[in-house]
Amino acid sequence: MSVAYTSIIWNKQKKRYDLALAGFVIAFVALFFSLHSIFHPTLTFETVFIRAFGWLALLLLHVILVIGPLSRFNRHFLIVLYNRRHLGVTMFLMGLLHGGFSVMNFHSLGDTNPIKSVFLSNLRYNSIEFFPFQTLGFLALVVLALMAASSHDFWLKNLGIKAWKGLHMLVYVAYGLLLMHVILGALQNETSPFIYDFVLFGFLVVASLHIASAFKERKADRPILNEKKLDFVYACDVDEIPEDEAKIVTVSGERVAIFKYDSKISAVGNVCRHQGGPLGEGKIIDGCITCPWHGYQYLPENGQSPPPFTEKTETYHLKLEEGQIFINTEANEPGTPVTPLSID
Amino acid sequence: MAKKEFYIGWQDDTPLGFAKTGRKFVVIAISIAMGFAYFFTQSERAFVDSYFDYGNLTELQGQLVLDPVPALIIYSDGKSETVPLVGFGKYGALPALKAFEQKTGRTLNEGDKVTLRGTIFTYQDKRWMELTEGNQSVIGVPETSSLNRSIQDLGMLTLEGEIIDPKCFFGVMNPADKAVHRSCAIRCISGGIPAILGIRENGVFTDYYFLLDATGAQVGNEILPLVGIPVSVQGVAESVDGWKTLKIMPEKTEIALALSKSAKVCL
Repeated sequence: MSVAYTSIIWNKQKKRYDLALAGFVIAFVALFFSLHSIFHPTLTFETVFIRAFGWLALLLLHVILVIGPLSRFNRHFLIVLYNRRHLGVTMFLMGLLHGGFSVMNFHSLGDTNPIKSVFLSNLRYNSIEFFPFQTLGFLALVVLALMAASSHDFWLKNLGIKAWKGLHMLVYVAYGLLLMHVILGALQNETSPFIYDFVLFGFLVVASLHIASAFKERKADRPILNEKKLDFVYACDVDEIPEDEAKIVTVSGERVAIFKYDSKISAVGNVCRHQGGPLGEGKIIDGCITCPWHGYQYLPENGQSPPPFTEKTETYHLKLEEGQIFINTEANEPGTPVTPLSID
Repeated sequence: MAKKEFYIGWQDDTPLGFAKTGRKFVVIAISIAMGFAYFFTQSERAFVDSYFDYGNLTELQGQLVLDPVPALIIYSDGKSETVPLVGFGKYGALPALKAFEQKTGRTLNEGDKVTLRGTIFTYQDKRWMELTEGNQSVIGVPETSSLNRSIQDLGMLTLEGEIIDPKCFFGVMNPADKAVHRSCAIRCISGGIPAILGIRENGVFTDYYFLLDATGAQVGNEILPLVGIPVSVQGVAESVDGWKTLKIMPEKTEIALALSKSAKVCL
């Protein structure tokens, strides 16, 4: 994390990412409006506006949700993951345009406060068919607003990674709410199977990618059994670890990354203190463990980010016996120096 | 063995494999989004050919009608046209007319010859006027005049349709029915815009009935739970100045508003 508060630390990759994102948004909205002006010239501006930004937000949400699992299968997708927060904030803004304009259009200039009207106009909460679907979109927007507002590293640092991650896992709640919002709202107005099928297809892609990546993770996540309650347990052979990379093992319920570099081995907690990225899938670069998600770095011998940065992860004591690595089942406090083992 | 690529976002250079994947991802995402935009446009339910002359004010001269709903009857070439009136936003026309009365001290009566200025919206052969300027919508001084109503009894009818708000349906919004518009229609009718029962033929609205209570006054809050959903309504129908009305008998309201089989919910 940056040592001082900065709104956005721009770099070449982020600029490219945001340009591509802006191009995507502009192209979609321009095409949506153009197609409607050609094929539905009598349609009002408000309807096209609401539909354009609503569908755009839903499309972007699908992109956001598939990046994570895709990166589990192919590391090259990490380039899309790198700036996912900007994608998330953009998606929220698109949703806000859709939701804000809808509230203005359908609920304002009447005899009731527009926000109250969203919840109190249609009271058929006991009906699936006639459910007040706008409330679901509103609630999803509140969740997305919380996520967008807390997306900056400032909040990550102040909330702590667990709370921050927990908050941002609410994206799945928002996705569920939005799917129901669309199914009980927009889809009820349509008769074509295409729109139904597209929504279903999107859900199936998101769900199947998550299930498949969960299986992949579970397969890789084989805890080391320690029935005899030993201090040190066998982790892996030195030969199993590629140079400048790591082998991830699970000890006492925690994932640990054992790195091999410069004829030495060191072990640190697998979770990056930035956004919880898998350090064990990172690489030693310039003598530092480098997280594959956003390039945050830690020194392997003490789990500390190089000065002036202040992040720290747990370290582990290791033993080496005839090419076999044994790991202490108890983690050291984050940032505790541990002399790396020589493998020469 | 080739060196394994590793991507670091804050570095200027992007490894080739990552750059290629990034480009492919963008191309695929844009293609899906553009394809969706095209096929969505082709698949949307057909829109009605309604029109709201937003931003333009039109003056119409005719005789004011307050019952059963505020309207202006215009005479031209020996024919009459009834233009129902609504207020600005989600309100009926009465507050604007009352505000005029308060401002001028002149009571508006049924049959008064008036010139009204407002925004026209139209669908099929039906024109409506929004009194956009509130108490300034009545131009000049109203003249007292007698009014000949054209009323014809159509008998007791049981009709299946959807209760819609005519302001949105006849031009201000498009589409203005079913789920997406339900809440808006409820707000409009709650605000005094007369409720209309729209009757569909082959999925398209072709016939309209102003919903009235047994006294002939427009129904309002009592039918809000049934707005925007399929309903079966029983009542006495009349043709009034070119529009149709349906008087719902209060003692039979529940029966009259019994829902069709596709909407098993109670009032």
